[in-house]
Parts: sequence; C-alpha cells; structure tokens
Amino acid sequence: MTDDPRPGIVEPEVAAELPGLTVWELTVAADLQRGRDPGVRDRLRELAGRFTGAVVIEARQDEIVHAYRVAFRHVGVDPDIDRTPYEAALVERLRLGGFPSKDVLTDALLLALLDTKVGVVAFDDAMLTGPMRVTTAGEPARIVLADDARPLTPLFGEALDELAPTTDTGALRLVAATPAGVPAISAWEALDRVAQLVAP
Amino acid sequence: MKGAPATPPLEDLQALVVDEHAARATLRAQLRHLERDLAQLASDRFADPGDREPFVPAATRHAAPRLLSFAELEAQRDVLVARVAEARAHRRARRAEIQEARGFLEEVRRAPERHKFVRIPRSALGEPGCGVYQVKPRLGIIGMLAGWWQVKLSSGCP
Repeated sequence: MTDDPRPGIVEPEVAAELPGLTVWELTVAADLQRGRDPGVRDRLRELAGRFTGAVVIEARQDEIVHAYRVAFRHVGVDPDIDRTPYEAALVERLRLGGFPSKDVLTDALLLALLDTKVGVVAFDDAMLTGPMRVTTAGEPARIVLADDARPLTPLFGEALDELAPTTDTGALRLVAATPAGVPAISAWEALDRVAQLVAP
Repeated sequence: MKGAPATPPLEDLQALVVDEHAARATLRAQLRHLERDLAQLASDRFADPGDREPFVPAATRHAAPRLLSFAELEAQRDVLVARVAEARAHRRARRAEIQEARGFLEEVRRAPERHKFVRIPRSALGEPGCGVYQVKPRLGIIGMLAGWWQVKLSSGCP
C-alpha cells in the first residue's frame, strides 16, 4: 500500500493561463534491478491487440485525451504534431506493431498510461529538492516542471536523461501533471499503478 | 490652450486588465470547442472507408509549452478555425461525391447494358468492405453476345 499522492505547486501565472491544471506527486520505494514481470508483459501484449487505427482516431474524443489536447493548444503546442502522452503511445503501437516490453519502470509507466490515459513522469527522488512545481523558466518563458533548484522538464514532457531513474535508484518521485477535465482519481490511479509495479 | 491628456483613473486601467483576462478566457473556450469539432470531423472522416486520410496540419513546427501572448492565442484560434472550415468543406465535397456515386450506381442498375464492365467500389459509396459493384454479362460469352448484362457485387476483399 502506498501513501496518497500530494498536490504540487502551480505558480499563479501558469494557473491563470491553465485553470484547473494540477500537479500530483508521489514518492515511492522502487526496485528497478529486478527482471521484467511476465504478467506485465502479457498485459502489454493483450492491450496491443486492442489498439487499431480506429481506436487512435477515436481516442481524441475521449474526455481525458480531449483535456490534454485542449491544454496543449492553450500552451501553443499542436497535439497533432507533438502528441499527448496517450496518443503518442497508441501511435507507437501502430508503428511498432505492439507494445514491446523494455524494463520494469518503462513498462510500468506505459501500462499506467494505457489504463488511465494519464501520463506519469518518474524522477530519481535523490536528485530532487523540495516539492514539484509548474512554473516558467527561460526567455521566452517556457512552462516547465521544476523543483526548488531548477527546471526539470517541459510541462507534459519526459524526464531528462540526467534526472531519469537508473537501476540503482531506490526511491522514485512519480509526477502527473493533469489539465482541467482530468479527474483527480485518474491521476491517483496512474500514480498508484506505477507505484505498485515498481515496488520492491 | 489645451492641457495634457489626463491620466486615466486607476479603476479604468484595472477594467482593461480584467477585460483581457475575460478575452483570454473566451479564446481558450473557443479553442476547446474547435478542438472538439475537429476531433468529431476526424472521426467522421475515418468512419468513411473511402476517405481515411488523416488531416495533416500544414506548416506547423514542434513547440515547447509556453505562456501565449494574446495575439498568439488569437493566432492559435484562427489556425483551428481554418482547419475546421477545411475539414467541413472536405466533408461536404465528400458527401456530394458519395451522392453522385450512389446516383450513378442506380443508373447502372436500371440499364446495365449501357454501362458494360463498369466498376464502382463500395468505398466510393461510403460503404464498408472492399467489394466492387461490376457490370458483367450473364453466362459469360453467351450473355455478352445476347446482351444480357447484370450488376454483381464482388465477393469482397482479396
């Protein structure tokens, strides 16, 4: 059993532009050295059979995917070019012909995404300082996920390599940034799903 | 003598700021509705087996998430308005095409002998499946010589 996710901080200038944006974080113990879970591999294989081209096109009418697409447009990103996390996973499925199992963490993040449509980013908790926040950085101002020390990744992006967990990582910081229209329960479910799959 | 224009009172300036907030909220709502329309149009297009090309946005580049200026938000809205308009125009044209193809099939059915060997794929009629309506002679060469023509639906996908 894991703790409940904690809400992070959304700076007022970002909150004004993206009302309803929430960032959830959860710190969990993880064992990333063990081998891949055959149950997860089977589940990925089963899910791959369900996702056809029609599902990819229909996905954008789903409430959660729609919420991400709208948020992307509100921050100047075209979701038909830089796809939302769920749509990106489905397009990869079409490109590769399946969801190949990679490693414990990658599989867990993918499975949580496919089950909940909410993208989760994982950081090595030891590399972070303070709570997660959505803020602006740089000139022109980009919207980023940041900790107290520095910007970590663009909003809705993936963890940069230097902050990404390695097999030596013992604790993960799981983060889900969800736009208005994504129920909190979906974000919690996504975080909890990853937590369970990476738990020692 | 005219004096320098008076500085607007603070309340007026605050009203202007509030107005921009309201205008930005309106633009964001418009983007939400347009995105919904575009999703529906893409779905409708995919449901038509003869017209499954996805809408590919032209001249758009990868971008990082950022706070948009009012003008950029307006530009986003205008781009989506254009895409929705284009998709709707395409749908109208496609419906007209289907209507025309169905009309032609009716004409072929009424007088197959005047449309020998004509082929109309089901996809051209907006129908699922990969069958083809074909005008063929009954009983092969005998029908051809006797002028016995009929419309047959081929059995389907290869």
